[in-house]
Amino acid sequence: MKKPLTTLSNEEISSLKKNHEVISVLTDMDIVYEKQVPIAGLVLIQGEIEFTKKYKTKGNTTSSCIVGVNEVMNHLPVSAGFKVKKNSEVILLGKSELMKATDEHSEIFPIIRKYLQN
Amino acid sequence: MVKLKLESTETCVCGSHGIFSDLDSKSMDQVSKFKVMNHYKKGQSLFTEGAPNFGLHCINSGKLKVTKNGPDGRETILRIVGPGDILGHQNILTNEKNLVSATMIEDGSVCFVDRKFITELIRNEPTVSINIIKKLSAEMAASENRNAAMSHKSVRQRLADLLLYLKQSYGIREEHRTRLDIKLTREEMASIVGTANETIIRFISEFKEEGILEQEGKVIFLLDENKLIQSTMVSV
Repeated sequence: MKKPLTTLSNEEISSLKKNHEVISVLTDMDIVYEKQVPIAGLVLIQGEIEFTKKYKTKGNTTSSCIVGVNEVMNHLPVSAGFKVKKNSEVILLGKSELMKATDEHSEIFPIIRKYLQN
Repeated sequence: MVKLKLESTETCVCGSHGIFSDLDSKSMDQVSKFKVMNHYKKGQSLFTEGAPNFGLHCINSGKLKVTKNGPDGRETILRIVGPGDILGHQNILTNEKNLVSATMIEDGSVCFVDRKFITELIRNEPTVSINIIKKLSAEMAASENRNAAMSHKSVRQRLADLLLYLKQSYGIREEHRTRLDIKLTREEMASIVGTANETIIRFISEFKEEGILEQEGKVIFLLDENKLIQSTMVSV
């Protein structure tokens, strides 16, 4: 069964924004293609993420959410590609940052942990 | 308890011949832990102009075109990169947005390490820093040569330069000729040389008539390298 995206609370977004740079996306940006391992996890602050399969749009989300974190950390391919649409605001979480975030003293550990436990 | 599988088991040419080749085994293990290797299809992008820099890409197999869009939206190919080459290093320390796009021109695999990791590695491992500086120097020299060629050389000479570069980078010797193991469209060749498609087609026909090259389908074979070298010379 397809796992639904979990929406982040305002407190979680504030905590992430305090610890990581928020990036304004000026142009549509493919983060990962179908069946690839993402090179970074992504937190959508505002804007839109489009999910694609075989270059066709299969869905989208405009809610604040985290995608790709589990796949980055566990080296897992994604079943659908995702693309950040222009004029979105995101936080990029590379593997280094995610590994640091799995330290229990990290302020964002409780947020990240939810996405790593499957 | 959060359980993590950290390593990609696939090996990358960057470890054996590229910028990480001088690292000791302990540091190389660290690179393997942080590395992500993906397979890309022809036409897929590694990154696009104007997007933020995620980190460093190392080409393991396949070839890519590095492009920049002009004010009219027309794409210019700046260079072709292949196995052992790296991408994303130009703005990794400055954290500026990408000035170029990188797109696969054939299927291949690419390794990636994130910006934070590679920045730490540059600080702590002089061999990686030196190898990146060597890459940057070579790219700067090639860029300066290309700029000079645009001013001083004719289209025919620049096309001959391109064919020699392709021969040096991707040439495979086959009896009396050299096969260029790269499929570029006429449009892509025209973009690299800085001219119109029709002009490229005309000069390729000239080279064929002069016995410099021949074609089988889209594959180009060089027959007479000396004649091609002569074609690159600026007459004084």
